[in-house]
Amino acid sequence: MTEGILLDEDLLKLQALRDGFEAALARGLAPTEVEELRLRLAALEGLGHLQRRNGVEVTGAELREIARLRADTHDMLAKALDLDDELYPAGLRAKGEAAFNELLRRFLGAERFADVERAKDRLFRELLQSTDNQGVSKAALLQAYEARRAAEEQARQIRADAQLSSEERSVLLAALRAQTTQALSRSLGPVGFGAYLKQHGQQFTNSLSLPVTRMQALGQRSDVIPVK
Amino acid sequence: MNLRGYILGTMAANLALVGALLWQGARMPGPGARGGVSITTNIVTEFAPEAAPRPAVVSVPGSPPFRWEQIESTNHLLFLTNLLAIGCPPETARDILDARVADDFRARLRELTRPLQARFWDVAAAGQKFDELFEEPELEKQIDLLKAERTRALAGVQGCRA
Repeated sequence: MTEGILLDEDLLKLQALRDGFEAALARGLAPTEVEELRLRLAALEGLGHLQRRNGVEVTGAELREIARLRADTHDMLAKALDLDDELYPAGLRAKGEAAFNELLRRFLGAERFADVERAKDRLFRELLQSTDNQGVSKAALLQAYEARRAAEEQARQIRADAQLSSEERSVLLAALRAQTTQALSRSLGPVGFGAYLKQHGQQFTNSLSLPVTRMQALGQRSDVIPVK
Repeated sequence: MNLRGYILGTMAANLALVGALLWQGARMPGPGARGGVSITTNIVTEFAPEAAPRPAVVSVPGSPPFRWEQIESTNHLLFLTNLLAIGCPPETARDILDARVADDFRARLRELTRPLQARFWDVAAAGQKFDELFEEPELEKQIDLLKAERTRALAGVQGCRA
């Protein structure tokens, strides 16, 4: 390596390292064990969100099949050694990811595929897990999620708008928080919304406010309005 | 001299020459019987002789052949005693036993947890923690027993050395 740049000879060595790892596995494990390892690496590396706890109705057997799809479109051994970025160009990796997503969509169907996509979003997982066993229907949860996501995007735009003064931003964000609070409370119901706030109230408030450092720099009081 | 006479003369000379060569060959001694120049006319490819397989037994004059089976035992302490009895250095004997105890523990732990392997995918799909698999009281008890047995075996190895 020269000044942080990988040379062709470095790539050859890294490839040899990856191949050596595969050969060592083949020597120490039965072929079925190597295959199982590849699938489990796929499950642990890129499919952590794909579980019932995150709102994706999937069985163990289905998850194994999905892991196979991922292992067939990604080099799991290179990933295990953290060499994926070095050994494969970004374009090729993107193609592998796109191929996997297409195979996954066909395997699960449109509705469950949408569940998988939502499960990747921390906002959705927070809503789902905090309101678990609170009698919140899936439709209500999705409604709350859309409101929460839209609020996040609006807050980002308000913060980035250079035309606004700090005071205007604070006012707009406070209004957005109040509006989102009402929307979530309506969708989740008082019990569900209370459970959500109990676990994620702080993140909810912070994500729809000015950054604390900026407020301190401006010498302003926090514009945070308690939501409960 | 006419042509016929010339041919007959040549043939007679060749026959005499062949006869002389045959007579000389019959008198030639075998190679190595005496000094002299020998000419090798063919190319020989030499093969390195394969290493002779290690004999399964070690013969010591005046004693019966030693066999590994004589000292081998699944009982760690007995095996250790046998190793020391044949003059194995204590450090080496301890290393052998330590490795054997570790291998034994690993194999039995793997066997004990084999049923959990089948549950990997269901646990992953449910989003449970894998650690929870090991939190079954009966399994924990079995693993603790296995660990205690390993500790005893290692302590026995140490004690036998002392």
